[in-house]
Amino acid sequence: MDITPQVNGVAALRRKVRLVALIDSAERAGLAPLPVQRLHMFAFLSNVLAPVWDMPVLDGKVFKRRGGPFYPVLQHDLDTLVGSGVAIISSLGHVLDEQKRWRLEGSYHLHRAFADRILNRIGDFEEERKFLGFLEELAFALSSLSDEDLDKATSEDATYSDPIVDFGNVVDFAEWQRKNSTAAAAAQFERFLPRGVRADNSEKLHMYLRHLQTRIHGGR
Amino acid sequence: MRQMVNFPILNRLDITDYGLFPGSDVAGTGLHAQFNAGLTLVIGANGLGKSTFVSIIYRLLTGPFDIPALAGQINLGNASLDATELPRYDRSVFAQRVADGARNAKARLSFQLGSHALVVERQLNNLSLSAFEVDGSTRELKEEAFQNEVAQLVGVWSFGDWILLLRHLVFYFEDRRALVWDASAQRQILRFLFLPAVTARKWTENARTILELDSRMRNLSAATTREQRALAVSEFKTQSGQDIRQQLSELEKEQTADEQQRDRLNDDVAGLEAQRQQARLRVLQVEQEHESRFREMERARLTSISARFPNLSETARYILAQLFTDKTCLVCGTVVPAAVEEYASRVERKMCVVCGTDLSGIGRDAIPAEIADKQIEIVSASLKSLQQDLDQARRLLEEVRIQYQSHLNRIEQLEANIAERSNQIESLIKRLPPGEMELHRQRTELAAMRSRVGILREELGEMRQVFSSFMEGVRREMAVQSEDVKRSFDQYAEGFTLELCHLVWSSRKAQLGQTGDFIEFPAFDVEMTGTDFQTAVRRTGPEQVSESQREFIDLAFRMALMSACGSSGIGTLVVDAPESSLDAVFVGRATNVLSRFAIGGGGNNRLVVTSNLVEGQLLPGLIKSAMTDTDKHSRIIDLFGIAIPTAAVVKLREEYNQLRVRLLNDTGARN
Repeated sequence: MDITPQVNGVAALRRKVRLVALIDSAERAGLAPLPVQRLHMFAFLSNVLAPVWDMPVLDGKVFKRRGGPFYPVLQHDLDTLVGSGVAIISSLGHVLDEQKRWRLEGSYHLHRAFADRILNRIGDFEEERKFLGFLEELAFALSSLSDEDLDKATSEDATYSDPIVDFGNVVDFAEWQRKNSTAAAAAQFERFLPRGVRADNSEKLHMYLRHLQTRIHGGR
Repeated sequence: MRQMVNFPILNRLDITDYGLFPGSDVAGTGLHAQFNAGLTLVIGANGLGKSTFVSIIYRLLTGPFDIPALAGQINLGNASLDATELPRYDRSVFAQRVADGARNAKARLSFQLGSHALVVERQLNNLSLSAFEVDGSTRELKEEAFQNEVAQLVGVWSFGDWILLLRHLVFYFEDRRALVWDASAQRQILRFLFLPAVTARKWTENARTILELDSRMRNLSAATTREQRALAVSEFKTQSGQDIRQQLSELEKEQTADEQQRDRLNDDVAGLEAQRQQARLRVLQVEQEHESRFREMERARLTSISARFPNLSETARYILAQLFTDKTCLVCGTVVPAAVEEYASRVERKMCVVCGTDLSGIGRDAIPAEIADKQIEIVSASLKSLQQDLDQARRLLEEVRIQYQSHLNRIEQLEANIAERSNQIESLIKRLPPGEMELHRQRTELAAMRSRVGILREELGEMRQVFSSFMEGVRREMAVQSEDVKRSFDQYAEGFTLELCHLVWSSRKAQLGQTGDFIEFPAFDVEMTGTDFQTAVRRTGPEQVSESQREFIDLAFRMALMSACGSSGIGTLVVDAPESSLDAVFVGRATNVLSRFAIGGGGNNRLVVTSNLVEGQLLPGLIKSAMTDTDKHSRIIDLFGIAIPTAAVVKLREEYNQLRVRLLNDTGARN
């Protein structure tokens, strides 16, 4: 029985493609180079907000850490992207986190010569193009937050910060359960628009991120 | 608003005219115990009445009432938690221990509930009330009045909750439930500790309504099945439609077999679901730990390399570090142990990794490299072991996932078979000749029963959904308070176990009744490191820790609940014979934890410990840490001088005396 997450298979390729798209979107929105923690936060939000854009969720669960979401398997994919020259890491270092565990510190940006070839091909497929559009919109929405706010984003996210799930437990929003409070909250904002006005998907994303910002600054 | 419960604070106990505690010339007649803030130690030998002493206090507070379900270790999830009057035999339990039937014996307890002073006095022959006062004012001598007033002053909505509080938090009986491991008991305790009385009541009443309906539905369903069989038999007996009846009989048999198998599988799914959650959590935990070790190793490699490798770009250094760490080339994805060996040897010989230039003589700072090299050795072993843990955890998750899915598939298939067969049965029954009046009546009745079962099932489903939503709101509300309990637990547990041990706010899925979907109930779980585990692991049952740890993790949990949920963090803990489950090494630590509770609660906690005269550090340790030379005598209730001596005590009095003097006086109590 093969139990190791695939390094070279289709699933790994999908994760890597998403990573390239993610860093690309961040660069376009002026968020790059993207520090490790922020990249994982971005990955988490892209999972949890995917239903708002009618996109499939790539990973429907995350281990809840005090320092914010962190996907070890995704980090391994990033390592291989660096190795293959698609991504470049800078400000490399190692730090002890709040649980006295070592983690990588560094910021990522794309090596355009390699990455653009991938991104151009992704753009040839409708579904992938739609996904790129979603990530780009999410990155732009995130870019309206200050660096400080970006680092606090998940601490106020409706799914990740739900006190019902303690640190050290699994936040399951789309793997074995269907309970995505983030997507539900984003969908709810339409209610506050004038009667008859519909919010499109990107407006929902922006409204949700504005809501996060308000919460970070103590508003409700 | 945050719920606060008033735990009882014991002040004084007087037992008079009870044959088991005649008293002495020195101590006076009867038994008189003053419970000052801090520790009170009750010492004795087997048969001198230590447990009776504790039981009398307990019965003064409960009267002749208890919750029958608490007597065993049954799951409390579906049990009635109403306070029920004790049978006559149990009410006379103290009378049975003495020759005069405790005819004139009385016990009187003074205690506090919040700012209110209460006095309760009972006849020991039948537990009836002989006095009840609140703040100096006499109250009606009726159990109902006592129960209502006590529950109100405690801050719980029912006397049953008061009994739960006493049994699971205040009294640490020998036949106790380990609250921290017992999800069904824990959820009931958290219910009244964390929630306002009105919400706690709503929880209980709604759950009870569902349980009653579930029971009615199952009874009716069973009756329907019986009726269906009776009808089949009646129809079989008639002459016409023989072939149809034959088919019916076979279908019925198959239907019963499938239904039984489906029920069995449904029962298994509950356990598999818990295992599946556990296995996934373990994988994610180990992945995090593995990642951290991997980066630690990588850092050490980087340090080692950078000390010998000038002007190397960060990306190149990173790639090399990764190559050294998992032997995989990040550029082409190939596993290259030979290249790693060669590069490692160059590092070892202080040569440039890529071009082989000898760097040993150019004055590089060797210290960080050497430290990093040592670090590499240490981390490499644990990384290897973690990789095995991770493989094992992933394998287990995959196994459980497959098993779970296969159960679900099988249940789905069975459900489809049952539904299809049910239609076939219905249609066969319709094809039977009309027959006699009786058959017709039976068929009509059966149809009505089936319809009623369907309605009840639907009603139950709706009620369970409402309850599930209510429970989600409740869990969210309770999560806020859980932080205080976790903090407090850390403080108590730290003193006892050498392992890292903490609580995690969690949830447990359980059925309400014997049918229907699982509902998530609140619970605390214990996570603990151990010799076999690199990381803290969820311990879901008492069998997953040692016996000493088991007892004191549970004790620390109770203490944490009391200090986090009690008004002003004050409480009383009555521990009967803690020495019985401790090995000698842990006694010192246990003493420390108990003493910390004794002096906690702003100096107002009460800790009552009963113990035999046992060798070891328990008694001297407790006396030393929680008593002074001046207050020692008022804090020790010496049953050797109060209780009627047993034959062993009479015969071995001198030996007991010597041991008692040695244990009680050679302690170096605080001044």
